[in-house]
Amino acid sequence: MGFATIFLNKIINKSKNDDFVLKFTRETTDNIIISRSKNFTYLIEYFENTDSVRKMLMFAKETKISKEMISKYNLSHFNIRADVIWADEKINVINQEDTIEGVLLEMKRLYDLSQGILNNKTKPEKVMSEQKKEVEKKEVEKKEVEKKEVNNNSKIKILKDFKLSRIYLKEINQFYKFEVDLTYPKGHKKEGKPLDKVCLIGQNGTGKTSIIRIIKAFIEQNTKSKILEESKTSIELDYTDFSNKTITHTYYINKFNEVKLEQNFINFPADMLSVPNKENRPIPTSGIIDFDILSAQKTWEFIKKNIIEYNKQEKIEREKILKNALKATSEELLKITTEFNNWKEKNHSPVEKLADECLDRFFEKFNLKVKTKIDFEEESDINYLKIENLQKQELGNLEEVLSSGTKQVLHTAMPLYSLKPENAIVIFDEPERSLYPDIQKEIVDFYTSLSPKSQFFFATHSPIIASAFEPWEIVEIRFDSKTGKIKQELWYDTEKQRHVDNYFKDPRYLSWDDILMKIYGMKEDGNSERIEKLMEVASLKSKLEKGNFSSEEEKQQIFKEFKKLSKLVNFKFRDEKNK
Amino acid sequence: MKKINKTKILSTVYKKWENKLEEHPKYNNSKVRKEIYIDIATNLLNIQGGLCAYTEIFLCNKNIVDDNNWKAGRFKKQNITIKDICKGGGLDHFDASIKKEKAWLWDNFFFVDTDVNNKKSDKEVDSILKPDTKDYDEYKLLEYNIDEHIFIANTGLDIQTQKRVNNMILTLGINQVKNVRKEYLEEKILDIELKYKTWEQTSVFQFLTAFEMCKITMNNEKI
Repeated sequence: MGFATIFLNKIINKSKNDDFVLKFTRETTDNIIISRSKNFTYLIEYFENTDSVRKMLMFAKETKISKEMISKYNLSHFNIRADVIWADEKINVINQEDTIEGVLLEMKRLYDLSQGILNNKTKPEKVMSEQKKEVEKKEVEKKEVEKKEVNNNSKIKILKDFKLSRIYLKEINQFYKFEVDLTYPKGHKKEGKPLDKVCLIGQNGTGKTSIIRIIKAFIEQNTKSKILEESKTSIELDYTDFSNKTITHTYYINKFNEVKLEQNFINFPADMLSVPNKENRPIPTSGIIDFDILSAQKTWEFIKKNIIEYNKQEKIEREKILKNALKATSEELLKITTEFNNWKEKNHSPVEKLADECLDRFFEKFNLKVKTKIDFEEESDINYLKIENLQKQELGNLEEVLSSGTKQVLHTAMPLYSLKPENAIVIFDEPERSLYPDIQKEIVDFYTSLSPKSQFFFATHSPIIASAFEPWEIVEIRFDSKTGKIKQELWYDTEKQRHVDNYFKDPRYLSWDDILMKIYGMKEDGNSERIEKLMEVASLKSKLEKGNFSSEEEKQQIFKEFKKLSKLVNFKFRDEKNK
Repeated sequence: MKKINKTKILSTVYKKWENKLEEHPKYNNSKVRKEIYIDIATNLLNIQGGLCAYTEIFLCNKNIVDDNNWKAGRFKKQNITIKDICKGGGLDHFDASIKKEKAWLWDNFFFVDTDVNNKKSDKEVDSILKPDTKDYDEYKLLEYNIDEHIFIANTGLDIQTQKRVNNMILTLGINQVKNVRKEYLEEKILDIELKYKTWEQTSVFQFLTAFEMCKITMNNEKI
């Protein structure tokens, strides 16, 4: 609930001409500053239906606070202060806190009072004492209001399971009035819905990581976050209400919000493998899960718990067999064994599931697989996942034997797989780190498939990763050379509407080379040595075409050299005929 | 790289000043730069048709620097920077070795793309590919490979001359923009190949020499 102060400051009798001026200033007691400059005269549209107040406000000249603003900033309580001055002498100070309706009444009373003073043209002694009584009365009322506020706090709305549909950064670091639409464009089957996945691309220093940090601070409601000091920075959240309707809510972190965010959020930082001193505490199953601080290895605990449960159950099933097997006929024994096998088939071991549904798909590329047979007596025997090579030789300490790329996949996929977050916001900063291109190609689909209802943000420098996105899912940010600020490079014809048909770039249809050049803005397709070699091949080709050779031997030599070099530089023949 | 005729002097105030110079002020002399940089740059852009002297990549709309924008030997708009006129371009001293002695020598100036300028830097040059010299003839010295859209030395020249030309193609960064050139010209050529337009109906605002050479090559292929 917001709180604002209106200074009815001042009711002045200018003494000589017996005229009154009612000046209104408005300030807020929290940080929802609309303006603090000078002595403003405000016309409060909210009050315009109240005749007497409208009359009173006929002196006002500017509209500064609108109904929408009151509602936007949740200004349900106001403090009205007034200095009543008669012939330069302060005869009364009114300081009253109330709801809008209460303030309305008080303003009306003040207006009447000022009219009375004006009509009587005498110093209103009586009024002063009445005012004092009034102040006392209001004190009592104030306490009641406070009680009411406490009750209202319990009515704070909790928002969860949302997706981000718009980010607006008014002025943070290099961002100035930076706005990103995170919804599907017109003509898309999900038109208007928040994007399922977002890819942030841009030169170093343009602010991809900053955007990620801002999203994180918003969701954490980190009001102390330095990056969010500017109060008008907002994000729009789309969530589904109880009637299954999508509602868009604008959320300002440093303002009083009558909503509280309880969103599942997972952050995978770029350097998650190398950050030392991570907290050793268990991973929460919901809420904020930040692997900048937490160790991803800890998600093994969830799987381990399942393994232990499974083993207990398996033991029970085995004992059943043993117990019955002693007195069973061969037919019965077959039946019991079949039943046990059926149980095994229906109840896959959690490690087998982890291997089949998640990790082996990638580990195979590293000549590895998850060791699904785990023998253990005690919990401490299964401290962590075991990996073996394709020749079924178990590897030693994972941290020592696994490559950075393997660990990267393991430490990101396992939390997503084991936590199975629903409707979360999942952030990856540079997911391509340490990964070979063929793995990068699959990583976006892989991660998103592990939590299909979540909204994913990937900040990347990889053209291969960028190619996994629809063009509207890509937010390209770059410096505007004119303003020195960051802007989003829009990929659709801005003279036309944001419609799927008006996009002129689509990384899904481009080669990796073309993505580097057309999307990442690389001007050259190789280094200077490549150009030199290409020129050499072009010269050889020209010579062959001209056919001026001193001997057949020279011709053969040039032809041989041309074939060798054209292969080496992957010379792009314009058409097959030339080749 | 088109032949450039630098005899058209619009910046007469600068040129008179340069003619009288006994000793050139330093190139980083901010007062001199402020006075004459824009005049030299816009005069060159006028002559070069708004294109980079070496690569012929588009730098500025030629209307911005046409003859109407000059008055009494000076470019009319003076309180501007070069960024207000063109995107990514600057003055290049063709022969960097004389920059120190003759920093403001008209004959040594060309207006070029910033990336090309940066890469060229202070590299040694051979005047065989100085585009304003009397003997410079792009059609005699150069050939265009349409597969990769790169310039090479005319393979009909003697080996030694080919080597000199190829070295200068690299120094001047003429093939540094090959991908932009390829994308731009291939679109035009495709229209012609699909008979949507003829060579004569097709106009280009940049890479004029490459376009002309493509036209010659492809017409020859037909024959």
